[in-house]
Amino acid sequence: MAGRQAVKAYLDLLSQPCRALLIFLKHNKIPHSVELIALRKGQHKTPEFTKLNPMQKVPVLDDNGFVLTESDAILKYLATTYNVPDHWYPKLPEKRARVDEYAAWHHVIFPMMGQLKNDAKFEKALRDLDGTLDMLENMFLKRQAFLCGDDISLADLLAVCEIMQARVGGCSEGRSEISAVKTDSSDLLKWNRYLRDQRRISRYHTHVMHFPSCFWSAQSVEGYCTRLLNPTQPPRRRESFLAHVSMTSEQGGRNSDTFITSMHLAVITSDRFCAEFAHLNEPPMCSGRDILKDRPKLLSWRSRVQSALSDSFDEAHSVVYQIKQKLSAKL
Amino acid sequence: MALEMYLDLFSQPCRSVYIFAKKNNIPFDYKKISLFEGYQYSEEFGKINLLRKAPAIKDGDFCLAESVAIMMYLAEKFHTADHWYPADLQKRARVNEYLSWQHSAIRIHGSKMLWFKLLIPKALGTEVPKEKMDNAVEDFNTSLNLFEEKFLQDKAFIVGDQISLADLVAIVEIMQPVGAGMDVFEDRPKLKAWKDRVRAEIGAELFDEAHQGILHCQEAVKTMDPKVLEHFKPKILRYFLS
Repeated sequence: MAGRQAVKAYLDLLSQPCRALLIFLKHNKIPHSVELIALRKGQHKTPEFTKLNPMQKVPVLDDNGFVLTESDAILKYLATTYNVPDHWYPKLPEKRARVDEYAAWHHVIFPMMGQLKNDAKFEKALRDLDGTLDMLENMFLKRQAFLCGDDISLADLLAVCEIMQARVGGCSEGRSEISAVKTDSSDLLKWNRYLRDQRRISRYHTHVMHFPSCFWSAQSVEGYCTRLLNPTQPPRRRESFLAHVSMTSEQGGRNSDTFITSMHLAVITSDRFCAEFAHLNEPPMCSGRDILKDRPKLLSWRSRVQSALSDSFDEAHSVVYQIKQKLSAKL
Repeated sequence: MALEMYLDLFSQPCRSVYIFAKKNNIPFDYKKISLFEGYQYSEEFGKINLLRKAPAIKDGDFCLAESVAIMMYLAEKFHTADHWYPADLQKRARVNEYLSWQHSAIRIHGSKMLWFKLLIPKALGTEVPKEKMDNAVEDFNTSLNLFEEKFLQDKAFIVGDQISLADLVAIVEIMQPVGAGMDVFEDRPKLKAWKDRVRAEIGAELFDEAHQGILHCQEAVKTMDPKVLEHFKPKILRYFLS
């Protein structure tokens, strides 16, 4: 709609509904600004934010004074206010009802994985997910490419962000070792050898990771590192990355060598890596597991969704990386 | 072909759909089902709705579940009065906002009251541990506080001065613990006043008819054979007592 002022979105990209909203805004080129609210740091509990949203939750949308909470309400509002393609939230009652049905059901089916505090509960939540995934495959995706029809809709957006969260959800206190797993990437092996040769590493442990790799797919992380190690990359870029890593680790009081090692290990354990990110009180840990591993129907659905969303999907994650860098630099 | 609606009026979302359809004179074929008896697990019901949830409707070949989705569909299809689901996008967003929030708030905490106070003791033969009960009551009260402070505030209804789907969905949820014997409106004059307004708007007769089952729930559960609730045991243990 011409002449509309930009909307403001209050987001924490650790949260799945926030990512869904950001992807929707970007993909549909809706003019917007983002204010980041770090739930881990309690920024949702400040008096200012509480005034904005007494529920102390994200996402929140501020459309020039009209403040709206609840991601599905926000997505529906944006879909109907802006000139987005019909398939997102179709006007035809029977088609719209399908998206409404999914959005309502969505509330009860996905356990709040990002908020779980210990491994046992997280494991239980993953088991409960099985029934949900069965339903997605056998009912929603039975005869159509996307959850509510032949084209992507708000339903797919909400679902895919939840499924990504299962990769990164789960919390546990303390640190843990992970066993080294072989890698296919020869570049990474070179990097590993380089580090060891430089005697920069002592043990293979995961410790604090200031790096948001947990929010990327394993492929993206691997891709990022491979690019970094590519001889055509300016050496300065690689050096500055390593220097940054050292600096932030030391500032956080942690050994930069183990940080680099963690990064390396996270990449090489593509299917299951654990990461902790800096937190003032409790370092959460991520599972890195792909819950769709044995579900080809859902895997192809997910690829279709990610293809349809392409840049905006990746951008939601690169933004997270930038945030983390800034946060790490402040430590 | 008539619109078929599969409803069990013990269930909150079934009541909201029932009230909405009746209030708006939407003709339907009332298919009364019993969730206690496990109708939702039957093969017959599976053909209507794979999600195996009530309420469910069958409008010709079109099947739909989820009360919120059903009411939005009916509102559109039968051109109900605007105030139920306003065409104005910001007012509509407010209705959607409430309908979204309530899923993980009042709906969950209110439902728990019925289970904890009546159904679990009947099914398992023991009372729910005091700490769990106290936490559940506290969660429910917190939800009610948020409802009053954030959604209702000083307005007549949730979205303004007219009743909408939001109020309908809210009232049926809040009545559930009443059925369990809780005096929800004690010390909550604002909530009580809102409830009276909603009941008046819906029509006292229709409101009372829809709530007759749940308001006599205590007696019904007293005389119920615990074996009826046998199939709920695994769910109870997983969702409520873990």
